[in-house]
Amino acid sequence: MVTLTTSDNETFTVDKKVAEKSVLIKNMLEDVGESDQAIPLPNVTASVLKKVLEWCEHHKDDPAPPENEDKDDTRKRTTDISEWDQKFIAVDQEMLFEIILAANYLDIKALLDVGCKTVANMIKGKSPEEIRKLFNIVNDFTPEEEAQIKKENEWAEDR
Amino acid sequence: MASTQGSTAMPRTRTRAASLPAYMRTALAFLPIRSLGKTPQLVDVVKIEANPLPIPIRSVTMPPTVDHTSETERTMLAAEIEDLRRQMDALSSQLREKQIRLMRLASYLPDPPSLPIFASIPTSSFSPLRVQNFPPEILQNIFHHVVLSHPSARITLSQVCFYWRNCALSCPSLWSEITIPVRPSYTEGFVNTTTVAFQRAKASELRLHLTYELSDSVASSSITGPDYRLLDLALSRQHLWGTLELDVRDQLWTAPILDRLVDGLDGAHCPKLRAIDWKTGMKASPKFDLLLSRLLAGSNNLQRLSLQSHVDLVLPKPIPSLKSLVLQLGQRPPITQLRLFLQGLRGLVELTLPALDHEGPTPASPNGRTSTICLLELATLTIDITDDAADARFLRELDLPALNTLVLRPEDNVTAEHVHRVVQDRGWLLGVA
Repeated sequence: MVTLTTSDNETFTVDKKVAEKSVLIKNMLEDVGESDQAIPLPNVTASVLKKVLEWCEHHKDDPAPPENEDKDDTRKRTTDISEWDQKFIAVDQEMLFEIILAANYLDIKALLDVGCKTVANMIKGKSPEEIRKLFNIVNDFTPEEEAQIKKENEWAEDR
Repeated sequence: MASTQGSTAMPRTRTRAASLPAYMRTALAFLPIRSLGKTPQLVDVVKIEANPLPIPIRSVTMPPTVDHTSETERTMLAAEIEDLRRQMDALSSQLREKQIRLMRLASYLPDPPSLPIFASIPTSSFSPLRVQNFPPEILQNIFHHVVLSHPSARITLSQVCFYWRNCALSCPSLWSEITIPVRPSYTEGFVNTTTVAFQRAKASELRLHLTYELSDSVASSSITGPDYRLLDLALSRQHLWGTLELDVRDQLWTAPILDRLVDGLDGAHCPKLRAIDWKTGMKASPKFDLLLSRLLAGSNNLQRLSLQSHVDLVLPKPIPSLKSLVLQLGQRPPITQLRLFLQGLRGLVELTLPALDHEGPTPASPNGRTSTICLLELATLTIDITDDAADARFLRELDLPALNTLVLRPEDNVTAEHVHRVVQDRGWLLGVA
């Protein structure tokens, strides 16, 4: 068993196999060897770690992805998300972003992919203005950049 | 002596540990003790009195001697945490500025008159998490998933805000899928859009699609001849071609375009070309034969070749890197041509063959035995069976020690009796079509 401590000082005790879905934790465990000491995860809160561990538990028996996978081929793989993952990731926007950042920090590639695909699906088919509204993004282009963008749009219409 | 060393070392260690960002303290905590280079005595002191680990409060059992100071310690810890947060914010801010600078250098963007957003973004760890707070690599990962099914969305993504634009423009692979419709002329807007895509793709591997387009533009063919600008741009970057889909036809109006392509590939140099998807219709043409021959001559690292249209099977040189070959030619490939072709592809792992034209003599080796096509790494063979006896003869010519899946696709009314006998003799496993 492995003990993990979150940034808000919650401790979680999980099966080693589950914890090792995170490459970061796996490497840490390899470095320190057998130890009862808790692993501090200063960039992850308890609520997020709980979700991440739920995902790790469900996917603990999945085969590890090939180490030298071609980046391009990775992208070419399906953008589909499995039914379980879809339900898992059906959370509010902030939690979704937290999960993505945690997956990135903990180095859990498959979970990061699920999160990124979910955000990508939210973006697909939307205009820049719709994307701004969706994510509460401020249009902060300078007049020069706006002019360049306008030109690009005129070109794009000119097929 | 040891205690003296310890008393001098402890405050320095504590000060350093407290001033480090949280992630570094975590890393320190997990460094093997030997890598700290301490003497055993000193290590003991460090472990007891100056443990740099951020110890979880709930799991700590405080010794009775510190009970009366717990309030003070809590206040000190809170102050330290607050101080660390301030440092993290400052570092995040610096990191963001450097990332923007890096992205600007990578994309050769001019410096904007002022930094419009990042100075004003609240970086506190308590601010609501937003997609703009994602590091560039995560945002670019998301962009790739969007562009995968909507290639034109890269323009949209680059028009959302300054940060997204920088992320999109500094990610060459986002722009590397380029489609050039084969037309006699293009609008200025289209030429500009495609040229910008080539520029933004920089030196990344290009996924190029040259696609035949029969549209109104054909009727308005210019008197001055076709517009070669985009074709020339693509040819000038042939050293960056990673995959090529060639979907063209040999017609009156495409003839000068094909000539331009053939000329541009004279002495072709496509070291990164890994896959060719060839679709040139049902009509045979010497131009296509020459084009394919030049492409193959200039591709040293080709791994996948799919020929879905009729073209002569002539290898200008062996291609040992080729792993997958799919032939779906419009006409049956002559077996005499196929034999020579396969002999130059010794690294094949996957092979799909159409119905074959068995006209012509079966060559014999000097010792009188039927010559053998040796494909040592071939694991999967798929073949259409139309002439049972002749196809069986061809299969006997093949030496396939690594074959694990053979898929037979017999035409209606073909029993494939002889072929099955060969399969049985060789001990090959039949797969499902």
